[in-house]
Amino acid sequence: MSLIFLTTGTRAPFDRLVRIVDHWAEKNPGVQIVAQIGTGRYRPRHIEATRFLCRGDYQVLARDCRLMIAHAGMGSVLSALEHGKPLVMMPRNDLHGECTNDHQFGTARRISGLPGVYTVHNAAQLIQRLDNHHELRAPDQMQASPRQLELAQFIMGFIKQLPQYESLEN
Amino acid sequence: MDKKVLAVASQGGHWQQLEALIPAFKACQPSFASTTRDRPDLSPTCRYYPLPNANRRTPLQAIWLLFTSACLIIRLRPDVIISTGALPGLACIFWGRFFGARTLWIDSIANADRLSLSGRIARYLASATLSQWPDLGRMTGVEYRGAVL
Repeated sequence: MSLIFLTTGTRAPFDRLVRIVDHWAEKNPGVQIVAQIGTGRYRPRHIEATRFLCRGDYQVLARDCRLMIAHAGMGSVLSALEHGKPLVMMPRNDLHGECTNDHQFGTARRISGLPGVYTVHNAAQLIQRLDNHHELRAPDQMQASPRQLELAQFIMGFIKQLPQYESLEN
Repeated sequence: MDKKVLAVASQGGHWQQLEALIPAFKACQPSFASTTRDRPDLSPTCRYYPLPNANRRTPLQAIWLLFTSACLIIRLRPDVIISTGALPGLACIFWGRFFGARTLWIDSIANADRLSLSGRIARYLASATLSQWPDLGRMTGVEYRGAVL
């Protein structure tokens, strides 16, 4: 039986996403879904939902799941990439009062270029991805990119107070 | 002598980005601060300090954060403060500036279209402010020096 891990982050409710997945779970009893729903008001009936998972439980679920479903938050994205799990993400939409600004659209647009990351915006798209979730590919193995090395080098220089990093300071 | 470094981020995505930077701290003895009461998975030689989980929608918590972060900076007197966000990092950078620390703000990679509000404020407080998107860096006058992904 495949396990799907749904997480909405814990800072704000994301009932729209939880409701869609709950309805899908009702029609697909063969799939086990575990969710972290934060402060959401909607109480799902067909998935195992917790408000807040401790770090260890979160890691275990991210490790053991077949698929992650999440809001377009960087915590979820980084976890999925770290554990090499396909990620279906739905950005929070300010029109539905799901966040205080629309930065998740920007995150989703930029991140969805990565292999293994799939962006959906509505119920139809999400259900289509869930129906075919066995065909979704996993992200590539995380390895140090030139961007990561550049940032690490900058930080080391900044800490050591090397002159070329001082020019930045006002 | 080794530089005293304090690395700060609130829990969730901000913290995960800070964790991705830990290899860059290996030459110094970093201390960490975040908003979880439990100590995150860190090497046992690193000290960990919890801060209140405040944001701009929790004004009372924010005042408490301003107080506890001041205590933390006075107690540690770090030479360098590095944060990936959000308000708890900004508070530490604010006090760090008072007490002579050199401060680095790395705006979250989640902010792909504009800097976060904290990032926009950090531009005036931090010694250096970075965006993780090259085009955003150019637009806002902050620097791009790589990213966590």
